[in-house]
Amino acid sequence: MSRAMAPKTASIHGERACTVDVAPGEVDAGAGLTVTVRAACPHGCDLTGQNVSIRDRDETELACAELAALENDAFGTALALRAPLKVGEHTWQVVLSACEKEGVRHAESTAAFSFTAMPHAASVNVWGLPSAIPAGGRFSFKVGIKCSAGCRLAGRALSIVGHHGAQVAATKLADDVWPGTSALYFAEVDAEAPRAPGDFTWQVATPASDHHVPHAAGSCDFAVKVVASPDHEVTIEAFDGDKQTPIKGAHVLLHPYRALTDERGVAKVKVAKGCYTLFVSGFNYIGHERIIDVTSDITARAELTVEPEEEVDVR
Amino acid sequence: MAKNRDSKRDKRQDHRNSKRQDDKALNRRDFFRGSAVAGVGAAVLSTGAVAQENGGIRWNYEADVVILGSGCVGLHAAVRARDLGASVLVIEQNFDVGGKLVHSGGWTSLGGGDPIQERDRMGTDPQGLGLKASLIKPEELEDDPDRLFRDMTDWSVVDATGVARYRYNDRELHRAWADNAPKTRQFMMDNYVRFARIDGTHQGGGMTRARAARAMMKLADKTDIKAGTVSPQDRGDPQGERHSHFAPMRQVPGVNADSLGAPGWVWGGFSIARPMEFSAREKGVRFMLNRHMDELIRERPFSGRVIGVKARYTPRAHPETGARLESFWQNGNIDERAETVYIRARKAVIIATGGMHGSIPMRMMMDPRMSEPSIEYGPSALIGPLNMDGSGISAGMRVGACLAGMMQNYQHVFGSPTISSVLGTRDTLGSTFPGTPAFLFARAKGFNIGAAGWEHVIAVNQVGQRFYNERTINNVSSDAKYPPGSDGTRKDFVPLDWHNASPQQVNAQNRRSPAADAALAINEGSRAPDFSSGPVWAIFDAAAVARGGWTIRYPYIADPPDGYFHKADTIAELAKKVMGHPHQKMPLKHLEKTVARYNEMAGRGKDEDFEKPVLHKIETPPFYAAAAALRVLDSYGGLRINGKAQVLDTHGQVIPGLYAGGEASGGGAQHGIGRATVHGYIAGTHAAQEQVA
Repeated sequence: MSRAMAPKTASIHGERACTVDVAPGEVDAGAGLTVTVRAACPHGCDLTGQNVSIRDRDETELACAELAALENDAFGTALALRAPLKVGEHTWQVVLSACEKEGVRHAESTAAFSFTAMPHAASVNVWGLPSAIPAGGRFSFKVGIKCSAGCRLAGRALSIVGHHGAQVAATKLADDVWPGTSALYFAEVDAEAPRAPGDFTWQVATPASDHHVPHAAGSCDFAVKVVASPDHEVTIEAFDGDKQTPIKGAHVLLHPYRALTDERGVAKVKVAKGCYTLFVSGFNYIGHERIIDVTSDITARAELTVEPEEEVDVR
Repeated sequence: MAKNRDSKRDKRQDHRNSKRQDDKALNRRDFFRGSAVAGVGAAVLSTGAVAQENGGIRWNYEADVVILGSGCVGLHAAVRARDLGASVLVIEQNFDVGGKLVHSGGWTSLGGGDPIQERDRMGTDPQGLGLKASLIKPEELEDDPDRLFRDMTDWSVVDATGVARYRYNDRELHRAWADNAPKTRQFMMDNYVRFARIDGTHQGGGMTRARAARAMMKLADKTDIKAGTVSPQDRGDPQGERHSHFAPMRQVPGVNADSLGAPGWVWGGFSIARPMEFSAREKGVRFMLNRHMDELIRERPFSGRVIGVKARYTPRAHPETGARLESFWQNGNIDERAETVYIRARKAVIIATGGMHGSIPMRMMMDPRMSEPSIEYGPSALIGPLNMDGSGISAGMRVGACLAGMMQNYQHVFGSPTISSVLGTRDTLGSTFPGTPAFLFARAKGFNIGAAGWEHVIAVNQVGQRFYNERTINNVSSDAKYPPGSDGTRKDFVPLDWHNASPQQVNAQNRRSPAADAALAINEGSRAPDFSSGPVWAIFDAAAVARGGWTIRYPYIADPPDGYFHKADTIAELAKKVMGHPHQKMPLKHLEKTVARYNEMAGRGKDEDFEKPVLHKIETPPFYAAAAALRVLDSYGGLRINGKAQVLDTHGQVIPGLYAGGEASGGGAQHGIGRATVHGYIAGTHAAQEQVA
C-alpha cells in the first residue's frame, strides 16, 4: 500500500495464527532443542520481520527471532534453545509481539507448547569376555557407558551383579574414553567365575546421579559361559593348502572355545573331552570344517584353500 | 587434507588440459576450415555456417558414419569404419573417451584360432614383447570358428546358478561373432594393442578352449602408444593409492604381470582403450564429447533410412571448482557447445551406447525388482549420470526397432543384482583411487572384505533386520567357461553331452545364494508405490576390523563423509546415523535387537535364524555400518541385431542405416570386451560399406 493511500487510523487485524513444533519432544536435560514457529495473518499480511519471542513460565525471554517468508505465503522461524536441567514437563510460550506497520496493527499473539526434559540415559555395553571360562577361574572383561548427551562420565560407579543377585565386582569408569569413540567411558573389570559349569546371566549396573546434571541409572545383562576344567590340549595348524605356508590370524572355533593362530599358523586350545566341530577360517580363504573327537591331546592340521577372487572382475 | 591434495592435483590437471585445449582443440568453425584446408574429401563436415535443409532438419554436422558412444563397441567400430574409408564422427555423452572399457581389466576373450592363440600355441613371441613360455597346453589353444560357434551355443552347459546361458545365445549373431573373432584380434593388434599370454577364457567365452589374454603396456619412462609403453605417472600407482586420468582403473587383485607371462608389463582396460583412441585420432576419427544422443532421425517414423541424430550438450563439471572436465587427449575433438545439434549420417548410425542399468524404467523390463533405487550402476562415477541410461535402446525403439534377449540377465552375476563385498562406497566396481576425475564422483574406493569377511559382519536391510546367511553372499558365480570344472561343471566335460545337464549334475553343482533376492524382498520399511527394500548395510565392530586388517580411512572411505560409511559409539547411535545415505529413508529400527540376538546366538554357537556356520559377537566399540551396495554391471537385453550388426524392426526387417552392438544389443549372454570388440568390428565393417544416402 502506498503512503499516499494509507488510512489515517490503523486497521486492526487482531491475533495472528501461530503453530509451534518442538523437537525433540523428549529431550535430555540441558540439551539442545529446536522450536519451529509458523505464523499467519487471517488477512494475508506480510509478516516478514515481525518479532518472535520464546518465554518460560516466569515470562523470562529465552530467545527471540524475526519471522521470515516461507513457501505458500507462510511465515516462520526456527529457534535453537537449551532445555532446563530440571527433569519433567515444561511449558513455554511463543509470543508474537504486538506491532503496527503501514497502518495495520497486529495484537500480541501467544501459543503455549510443552516438552519433557529427561535425565540422561546411560547406554551400557560389555565386551571382551572369554568365550569359555573355566569354573572358578578369574576372568576379565570391559564395560563401557555412554551418556545420551555425551557427558563426561569418568569416575562414574558401576557394579557387577552375579546370577544370584549379589554384587561380584565394582569399579569406576576410567578417565579416558575407549579408543576410537567420542564419549564411551570404560572400565576393566576382574571377576571370579562360578564354581560350576553352566550358562549364567550377569548384569552390569550404574546408579542414577543428580550431580550437576541428572543422569538415569543404566544396566545391561550379559552372558557368562562357564565350562568344566579342560582335559586336553588341541593344537590346530592352519596352512595354505597350495603354498603350504602357515596362516597367521586364522580363527579357530571349537565351540565354545575360540583362538587365533600365531605366526607359525598354530593355535592351542585347552578343551574338555568330547566331540567338536572344528571350524578354521581365515580372510581370503574358504573355511575348513570337520568333526574331531577329543579323547587326548591332539594336533589337527587344517589346509585352507584360497577363495576365488570375489570382486567382480570388470574385464 | 584430502581436499587440498585433490585440489592441487586438479589444478595441475586443469593446467595440462587447458594447454592441450589451446594446442589442439577445434571449435566448429575452425574445424570446418581445417577440414577444407586439409582437403579431406570424406571428412566429417560442419555445416554450421551453411546450415543445410533436409526434410526440414537443419544439419549442423555430417559424416559418413556417426557412432553413438566411445566405449568398446564405439572405438572399434570407429577405427574399422575409418580404415575402410568412411569419415567418422563419434558422439560421447561423457567428457572423455573410453566408456566402461577404460575402466576394465582388459581381459579379452576371443578365439576361433585367433593370432594370440596361435602365437601361444607355437610358444613364440613374434612382436618381441619379452614373453615367457605359454601358460596353456598347445592342444587347449587349438581352435577354429566352428568350434568357437559350437561352444558359444552349447545347449548342455549349466552353471552353478542352475542357468544354461549358452543355449539361449542367438545363433546367427554368434556364428558371425565366431567368424569375426580372429580378425578382430588381429585388428586390435594392428592398432597398437598388445596382449599377454593367454591365461584362460572369459565368462561366456566357451568351455573347451583357452581364449582370453590381458591387454597390456610396458612400464617405461614415458607413454608412447606406438611403442606400447606407459609412464608410471600415466599408469598410476595403486600401491601408492593413486590412479591416473590415463588409466582410471580398478585393480584385479591376485593377478600380476609375471603370472601372465609378461614381466615388466602392466595390464588393464586402458591398454585397449587408449591405444584404440590414439589410433582413431591418428587416423582422423573425430570426437564430439559432452554430447548425448537424444533422438535417432529416420526418414519416416517407422520406415526409410536412419539419417542422423539429435544430440544435446552434456558437460560434466568438477564438483568443487565447477570447471568443465576435459578429455585426456583433445586432438580430433570438436568442441561444440551449442545446446542442441543435428548430425547427419550419410551412411549409417551405430548405436554403441551401452546397456540400460542406469535407467530404472528400462531396467525394469528385465527385472521388476530393479525399481529399487539403491541399486546403483557401478562405473557411473567414471562415465557420468547419463551412462548406461538405455538411451540408444529407447531411441531405437522409437524408430521401430525390436528387442531381444531380455531374459538373459536372469541370475547373471553381472546382470542381476548382487551384494558387493566392497563396502563403504557408491562405486563398488570402479575401485578407483584419487588421481582420476572419476574419484571426484566416487568419493571413496571402498574396502573389500572378500567372501570370508562376511563371517565377521552381519548384513541387515533398511530396518536393521538380517535377511540371509551372510557367509553365502558371494556364492553368486555364473562363470561356466574353460577350463571344464569351473562353476561346478564336469571336469570330464564333453561338448553337447546331455550328462552336463543331467538333474544329478545340476543339483550337485548348484551353489547359488539367494541373499541378494532376500535383500530385495519387501520388508517392514517398504512403502507404496515402489515398495523399495532399501540399502543393505554391513554391521560390524572394532574387533572385526582388527581381525580383518581392514583399512578404514580415506581414500577407502569418503572424507568428508558421504553417507555410505558410519561409525558410532553404540549400536543405537549407529542405527540413526545411517540416515545420511541417499536412499536410506528411516533409522535401522531393529538393529539393537538384531545385534543382541546375534550376539546371543554367537554365545550359544548356533545361528538359529540363518544357519551361518561361524558367528563372532558384535560387541567391541566403536561400531560400524558400511553400505554393501546392491550392484549391477552388465545388461544383456537390447536391440535385436543380425549377424551384420544391423538393427531389426518388429517385423524382422533391417532398419536401413542403423547398427548396434555390445550392451545396446540383445541376444547373447557373453560378458566383457570380447563381445563388444567383435560387435564394433562387425558394425564398423558393414556401416562403412553402406551406400551414401
